[in-house]
Amino acid sequence: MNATIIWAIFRKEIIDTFRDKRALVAMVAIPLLLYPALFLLVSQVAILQTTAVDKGWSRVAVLGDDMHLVRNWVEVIPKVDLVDMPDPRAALSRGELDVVIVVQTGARKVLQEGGTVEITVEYDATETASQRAATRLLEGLAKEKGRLLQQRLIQANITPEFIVPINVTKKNVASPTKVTGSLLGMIIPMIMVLMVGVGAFYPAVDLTAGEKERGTFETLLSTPVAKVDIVTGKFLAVFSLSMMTALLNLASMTTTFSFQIAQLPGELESALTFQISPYTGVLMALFLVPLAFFISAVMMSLAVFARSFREAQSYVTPFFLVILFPAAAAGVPGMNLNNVTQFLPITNVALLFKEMMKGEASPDATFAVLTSTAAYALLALLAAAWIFQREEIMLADSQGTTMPLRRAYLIPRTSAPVGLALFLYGVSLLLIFYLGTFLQLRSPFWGLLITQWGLLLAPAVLTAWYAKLDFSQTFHLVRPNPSQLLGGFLLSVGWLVLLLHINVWIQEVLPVPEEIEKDMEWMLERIHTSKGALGLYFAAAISPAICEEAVFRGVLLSSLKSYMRPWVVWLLVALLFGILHMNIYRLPATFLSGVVLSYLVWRSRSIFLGFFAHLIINASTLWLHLGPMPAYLRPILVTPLEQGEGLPLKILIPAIGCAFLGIAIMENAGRRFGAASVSNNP
Amino acid sequence: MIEAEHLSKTFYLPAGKRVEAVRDVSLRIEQGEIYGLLGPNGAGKTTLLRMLGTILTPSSGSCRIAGVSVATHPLEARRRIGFLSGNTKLYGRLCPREILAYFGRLYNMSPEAVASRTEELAQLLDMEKFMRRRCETLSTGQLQKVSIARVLLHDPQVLILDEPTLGLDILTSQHILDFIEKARRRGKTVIFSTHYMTEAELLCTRIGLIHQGKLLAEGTLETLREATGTTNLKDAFLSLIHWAPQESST
Repeated sequence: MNATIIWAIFRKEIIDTFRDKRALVAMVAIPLLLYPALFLLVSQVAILQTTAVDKGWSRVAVLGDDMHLVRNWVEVIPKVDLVDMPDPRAALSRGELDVVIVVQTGARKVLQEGGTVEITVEYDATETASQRAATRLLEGLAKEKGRLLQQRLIQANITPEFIVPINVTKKNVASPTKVTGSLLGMIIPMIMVLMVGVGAFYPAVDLTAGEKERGTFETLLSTPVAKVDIVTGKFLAVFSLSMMTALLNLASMTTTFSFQIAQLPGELESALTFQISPYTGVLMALFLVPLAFFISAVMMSLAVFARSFREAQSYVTPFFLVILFPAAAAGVPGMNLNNVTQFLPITNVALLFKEMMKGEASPDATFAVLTSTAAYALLALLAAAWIFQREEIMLADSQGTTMPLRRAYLIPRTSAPVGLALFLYGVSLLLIFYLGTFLQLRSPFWGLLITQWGLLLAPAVLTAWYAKLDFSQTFHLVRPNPSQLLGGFLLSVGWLVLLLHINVWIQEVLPVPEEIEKDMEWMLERIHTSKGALGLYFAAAISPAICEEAVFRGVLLSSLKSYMRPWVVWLLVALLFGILHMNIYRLPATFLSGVVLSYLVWRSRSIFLGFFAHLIINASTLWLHLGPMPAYLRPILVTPLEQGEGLPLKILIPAIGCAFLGIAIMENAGRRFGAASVSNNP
Repeated sequence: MIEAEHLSKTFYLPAGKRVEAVRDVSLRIEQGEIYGLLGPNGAGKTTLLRMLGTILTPSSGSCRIAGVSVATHPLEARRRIGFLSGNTKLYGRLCPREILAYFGRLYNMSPEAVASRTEELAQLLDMEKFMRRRCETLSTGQLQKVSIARVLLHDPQVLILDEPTLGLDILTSQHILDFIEKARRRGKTVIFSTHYMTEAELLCTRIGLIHQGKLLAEGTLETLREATGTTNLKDAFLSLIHWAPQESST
């Protein structure tokens, strides 16, 4: 990766795009004009309709023998105009009248005798004005009915309360943000996906297929620039342009709404719940980032396949339409972030947005959503970078495939190329997201075993076999010498004690919610009761030590170490290792342990050191939970940890000493590898 | 210097067929040489030049550019190459000055070096009038001049030119041929493909004839004429192809 080159490519692509009139129209002019125009249209039509119906008076005629009595009741109703007509019913059907009121004969007498006067309001349900008039009259006459009832009660010497034994009122306790939150949460994610998609679409196609079509790609490929840098530079340009369009859209939409809504008549303004507060605006802007990242990456990797602009459009358009569904799905009532939905692309971001609007998002869900979105985007980018390597796709006129994927044609390699290693990681991550968590809920023991052996180790071994990788190099299958074993042992034990102490600190900064802790304990408990201690140690200590080491300190470490500085490799492998545990509360501890494990294997070149250290850490953690614990150890080891105090210095200082001694032995044990061994490889 | 050893390139067609576009070609071109690559359409000229230019990876065989192995250090090798073909077009929405600045950055040149080199090339190639016009508004000849400037910008030791005079008028062609000759005199290594026999006769120190992916013959104009018993390159070319064993690619 070369930052100067990436920046140069990024800058050139931005300048190039800004000089393209078609791009400017699609990305800038449309959003700036669309919202004001759309809003103007909708609001003007709405105003026209409501004012016509609301302000218009209702024309009413009365039928019956005691017109005078009813007239008194009707005349006090607002916006009602009493009309005298020869044939009111015919006038109603012709639309000249809105309502005809039919009063029974001898109404005054019935009223005086304490009876019930029958009144019918005849209206035309197909006419809005007629419906409105009928509602007005029913409301007005109901008021009159209440007034008359009051009179009768007074005459009969009954208090008004007497006829109301129970009074029930309904009260909405949801906060206003929550009400608007749920309403907005439904529509806004779709709008955001649209905004980002419109922004990413044009550059994603133009910078890849467009460049191929114009014949400038081979020029770029003839320069001494790594393909990864080309992909990264272009991706950053697509991402930025997409963000720019989306923010323009957002700004245009919010100003349109806040400006225009203020001009609406009062009743309509309160009827429109679609108001965007500054908080919502900022939140939307933030959420555009993961969406733009993901959508730009996928659109670009699709467009790279195409040889022409038009062909690319036909690949990207279906994707654009399809992603509107997961965005809309988030609006379905009852959809919430859970173990499954937090890993569904687009839907998870939309749901997280919804929860943020209601102020209900939890940190672990946020973490899961952001990491999985980043993982998907990285997968898409890796795919794009891989396609860039494929000559037959990148050179517009070439004939047939030049890099066959059939195993017979593949060339043996010492270790996996970075792209393949990261792709393998992504596949395992997805398999565990979808299959592993599901299986572990059904059966903790078998679920854990299948996850480790089937979803982690098996894909790694299969890939290594298919890609003709050198097994002993890829998986670091080298016997350690005794001094390395000693150094590794000292470092692992020292680190284990430190880790227990560090966990107390982590617990203070990032306390594990009781629910998650209980879930973990429930799993271990169930394995313990059903399969015994041996089964538990096999599933939770031995299996992870073998399978996780094979993937992380095997395939990934051996692949990355020849491309990056050692400490970058340790940190990166450790981060990938931490993320795989899919739990933000365990991330700090797994990450730090990952650094130690990566260092051990990197320095010794032997996977066995990683395996033993991993086993020591996992098995000891289980042992601390389950025992058996000798009585004299309990006050030193368990009690201070349970009380959240951390370990006493008389344990910590020897542990630190132990760890440093281990590192010192490792450093002197020889068998260094890194740059020196790479050049020896054929 | 260009050294190619047993270069082959195989393409795999969707139907399971293999096309051997280049078969076992070995070349050695010294500094100060102009090597002309001749051959009928589809002979494998472009594929061979693309492999030498590190645009394509050989299926087997190896090549070194100015002593740098293309397989192990492709980026270092590319730094020493100026590559031009019918498919290396220029960005239409940028002007020549911006294009040279962009490629200068991609070749890791300092901005000052790019600026002085740009001035120099603009004068040499007579491009000053259109340095600030967008490429989409330039004529074919003007564009080819910008392309030549792009190729020479980082002062490469090796020039790989795939039909550099295709579709140009006589004046511009001559201008570009003069440049190739000048580059040779300054000690560059040049390989170029062409369909124009006269160009090859005038310019090349050695000529290679490629047919059906194989290098049928190579040598100076005289040796080729002697070997075939002809008086000019055109007849030598036709006679070699006529006597070549015919095979269908499988």
